[in-house]
Amino acid sequence: MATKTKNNLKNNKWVPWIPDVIMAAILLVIGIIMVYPVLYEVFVSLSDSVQFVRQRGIMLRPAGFSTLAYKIVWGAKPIWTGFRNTLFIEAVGLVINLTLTSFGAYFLTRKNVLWKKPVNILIIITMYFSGGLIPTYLTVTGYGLGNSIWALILPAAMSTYNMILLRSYFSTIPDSLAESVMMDGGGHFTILFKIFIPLAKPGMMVMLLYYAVSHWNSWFSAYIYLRDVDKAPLQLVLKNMFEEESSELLKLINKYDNFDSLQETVRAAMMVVSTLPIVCLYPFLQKYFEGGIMIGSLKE
Amino acid sequence: MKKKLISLLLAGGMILSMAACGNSDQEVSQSQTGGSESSATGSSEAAGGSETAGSSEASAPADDFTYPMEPVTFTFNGSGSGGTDYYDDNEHPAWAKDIYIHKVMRDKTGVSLTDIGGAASSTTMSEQFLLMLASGELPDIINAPWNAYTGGAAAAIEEGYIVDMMEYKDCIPNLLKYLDENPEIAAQVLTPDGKLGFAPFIKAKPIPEMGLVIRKDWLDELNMEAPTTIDEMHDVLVAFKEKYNCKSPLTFEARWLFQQGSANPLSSPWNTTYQEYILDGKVQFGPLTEEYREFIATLAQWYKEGLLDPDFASVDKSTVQAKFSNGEAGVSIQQSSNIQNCLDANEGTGYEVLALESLVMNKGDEPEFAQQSIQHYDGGMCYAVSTTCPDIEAACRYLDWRFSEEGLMTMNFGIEGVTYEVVNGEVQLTDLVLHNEETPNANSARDEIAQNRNRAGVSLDISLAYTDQQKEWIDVWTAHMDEYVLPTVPYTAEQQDAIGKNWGNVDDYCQEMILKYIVGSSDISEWDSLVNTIKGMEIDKVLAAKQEAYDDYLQRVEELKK
Amino acid sequence: MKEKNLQPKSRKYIMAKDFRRNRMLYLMVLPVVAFYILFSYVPMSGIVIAFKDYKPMLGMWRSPWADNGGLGNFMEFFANPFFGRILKNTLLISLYSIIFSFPAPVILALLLNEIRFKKCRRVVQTVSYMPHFISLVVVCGMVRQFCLSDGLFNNLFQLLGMNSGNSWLQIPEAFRTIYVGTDIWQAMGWNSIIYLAAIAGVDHQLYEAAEIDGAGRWKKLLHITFPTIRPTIILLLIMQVGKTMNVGYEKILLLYNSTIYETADVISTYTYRKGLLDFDYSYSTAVNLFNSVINFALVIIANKISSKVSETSLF
Repeated sequence: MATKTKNNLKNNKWVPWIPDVIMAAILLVIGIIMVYPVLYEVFVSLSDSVQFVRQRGIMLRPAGFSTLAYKIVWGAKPIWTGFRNTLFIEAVGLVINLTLTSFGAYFLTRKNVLWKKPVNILIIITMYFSGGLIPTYLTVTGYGLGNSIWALILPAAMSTYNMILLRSYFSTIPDSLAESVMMDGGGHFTILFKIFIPLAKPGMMVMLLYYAVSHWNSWFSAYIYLRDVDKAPLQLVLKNMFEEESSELLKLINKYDNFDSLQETVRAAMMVVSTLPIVCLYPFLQKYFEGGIMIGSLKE
Repeated sequence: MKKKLISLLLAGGMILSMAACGNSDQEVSQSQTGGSESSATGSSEAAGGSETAGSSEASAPADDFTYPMEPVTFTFNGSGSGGTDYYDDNEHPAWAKDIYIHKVMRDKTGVSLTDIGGAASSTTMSEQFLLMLASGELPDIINAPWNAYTGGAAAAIEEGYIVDMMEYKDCIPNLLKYLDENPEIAAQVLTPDGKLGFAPFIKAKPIPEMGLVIRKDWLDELNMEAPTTIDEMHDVLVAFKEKYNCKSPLTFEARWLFQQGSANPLSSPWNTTYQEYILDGKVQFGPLTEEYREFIATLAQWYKEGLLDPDFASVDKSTVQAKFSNGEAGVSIQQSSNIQNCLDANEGTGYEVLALESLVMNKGDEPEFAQQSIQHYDGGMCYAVSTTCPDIEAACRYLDWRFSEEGLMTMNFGIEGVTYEVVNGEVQLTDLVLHNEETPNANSARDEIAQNRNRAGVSLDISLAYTDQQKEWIDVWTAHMDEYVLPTVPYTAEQQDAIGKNWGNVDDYCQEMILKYIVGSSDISEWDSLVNTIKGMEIDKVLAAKQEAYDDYLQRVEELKK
Repeated sequence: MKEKNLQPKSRKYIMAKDFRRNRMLYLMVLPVVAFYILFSYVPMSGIVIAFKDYKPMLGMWRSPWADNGGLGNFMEFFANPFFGRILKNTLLISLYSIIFSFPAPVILALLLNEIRFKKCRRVVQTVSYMPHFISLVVVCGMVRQFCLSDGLFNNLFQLLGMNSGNSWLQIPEAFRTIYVGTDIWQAMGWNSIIYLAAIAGVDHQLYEAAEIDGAGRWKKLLHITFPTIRPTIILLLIMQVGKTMNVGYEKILLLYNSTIYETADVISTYTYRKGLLDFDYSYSTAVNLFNSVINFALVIIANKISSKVSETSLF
């Protein structure tokens, strides 16, 4: 790797060494600060719960060592049903999210559309005014979505914030490209799928990531709409486990000695286990955020 | 004042002994109402057994009601998420397969419950609960702190959510009998016009979960006596600081100053506490008194001397626990489970903990304030029958069963001969519970076979399965309980309005200023401005409303006693 | 053919023509509009609750109007003795966030883009977005530890030769810094992704052309990279301004204690505490509506300014 970097640097005569080293140093410091909370959770989860009671302040390694917390999490059925439900929501939700968001964003970047402004305002207003908890609940259950997993998917079918972001990515794409497709007799769907989405791939990946993570982290709609435990997504399961004096958590740990102290380490282990999959998503998307694209090549 | 406590304990004892006589006969429970009048506890204790047998023939209604009823399923708002299948064998350990409490209760009553979630917490309404009310899709049995509902149970009946159980008197003989024998509770539970909205949750023997503790091994090393007065405590803290170089000899979470009277062991020398309390029949509020100012001034002084945790206002539970376990603190106010954690973490090091009584001003005084202001009835976990329930009578009968002798014994101790035995009129849990190899302690075994915490019904003795050490702490902390406590009384809508509008601001402001006085960011000499400000926030109206409700309550207790 | 019956340039004519030309576009936006109508506008009538004395059993419409001609809930909010303080704190925390938290991800993204050590870049990028996934409870628990009198911050100050035994969360003046710092810590990496994606959309030919013109690294950054992400920055800034009144309660609840209410208590934490005492739904709806109106007004102003100055606008 080192030689490769050197080659890069050699090839580019504009790059002096020193700024890069300074930047690297700054970034490394940032990296260490950023990684600490994660490490902390890992340390807690691997700590011996009894010794952890005495622990205070900065942790640089687990207090004692025990994998009991992970054993308990491994045997916790609700966590795994939670995973299953969350994955279903992710799969179905993402398809709907990406479709609607790109439709909306594309519409709002078109010119010479009479209803564009009214639609835009209609959408923006919803960012600021909403009916609040009770009316939303009554509406959604009124559609027959009560106690259904669709109550977690449909009302979250798109986010205005994300759509505006995507619109801004789309708006950097030159009009000439769309016009040339039109000339060749292509319609809006062709333009969207053949030009906009491929060209705004980094933007689409941001959408994918943001929606995926928001599904992953959301628990409130599940908390108010769902009645059945086996429909609960992961975060709702966790939320129940993290409540003070949680009976769900006690059920898992009360067969072990000193179970009161186990609460902290088991919760940390749950956090690690539940975060790992979604954190792993990023490295896969990362390549899309690197380097630029060649608009010129598409033009031909 | 002590009389109330004694009479309640007696009442508890009475029920126990009656149960001991009658529980071989499973069908007696219902017919008892006719027989037992509200007589003095002593005589009814004696009469209980004989009368039961007689009245079951004489005054039983024609329908000859017996449990179990026809199998019926009710929906119910239990734990937050809902959907827990109470009767699922997999939810319980193998040893309890046939005796876990939900199954036993179902067998005995014929009623199964389906948990649809959305429980309100013990003192406030949750979002889920609010949505449930708004959607009008009520469970058959609604669990909520009905006193906290705007207008109380009276309003909930009026608005058509819940049933007035007094209209189903025939179905609730045991509940009526219980209220009859305990007028104090009846006055808290019944609406002003005598309606009954719910079956309450009652602790026959409330016990504090937390209290004042000290490092006994340190005391021994220093050759010091356990402190009983506020000055002795000061000396001990100074000695701890010098000898063990601890940064925060005394530490506890600041919120305990303001919640549940949990800091009472420290404020007791001044006979005051933060929340409302009763002194000579008058409702008092700590911050308005000179005594409370002195208490806070003392804490401020300790803070200055480095005896009270320098991070007093911002430490959380786990930090306090860590400090008390690793020698940074020697005195603390802790929950018993935390103390257990501290002991476990220091096993084999000579670490010892001693529970302390509330402190006093002068040596030899009797402390007046207990460690926590816990009541027999605190308004939480009350079960009501909803108006949409398909079989209101059966639901009433089910709730009533919880107050029958059979229900009481079953819910508190499980099955006679299996999980408990009655020896000389005293209940003893069997080894299956007390020394169960499958569970780490007796208490978690008890939780499988009994349901005596936070459920409508009467909880008799929670500490029965506790460890000896826990019992020891509790014995110390329980002294002087509830003599000064303002009971949970029903408020009228106007009283509630006066309290609701003003109390939040007063509470916010007091907490802010008191903590600032302690940590020295405001000068305690400005105490008068605190008093003036909260008077401006109409604290007087709050207290007047509470006083009015309290007076009404006392009056009703008298009426009900007649 | 129908066109001919219509007056050219009449409203109907224009609409019909527009519809014919853009019907595929309208078809595309139909599900989007349907979504907003079904899930945002249908429940929006619930705003009326702010003007009512809401009783669940009576429902939204049959509940009685609030006192003072329906404005009772608002007046109660304005009249409370802490109104000035919580409004000021909310505005200040938002302002601090805009000044300090908002630029942080932009700077990080630019740094990440500039650095040539690929591995370093990748690792830092992945790592920096992780705190977003750690729950607030844990992050705030850590921050509380750091702020203790013997915590990390005081240890660092000691290393620097400053001797301070302050308990930082008991000092009102320190709270906003702690809040904003935590914000940056948790969100900087996560938000930088937006800008990284925008930078990734830059046409390489532009850089090549600039290099031929002899532009240095700094010039390229200033004249190519930054202008590309500027519209995104401005859009996000406008949206951020539109959140001025929504300083959330979750984090503050986990960090504050009553000694620092002076600077830490904001509208949402105040109403949260009030909500704990009695579930006054009308009141909280009224507070939300008040916040929304201010937010909306701010966003309109910000948008006006932006569309004049930079030609980027939200609507």
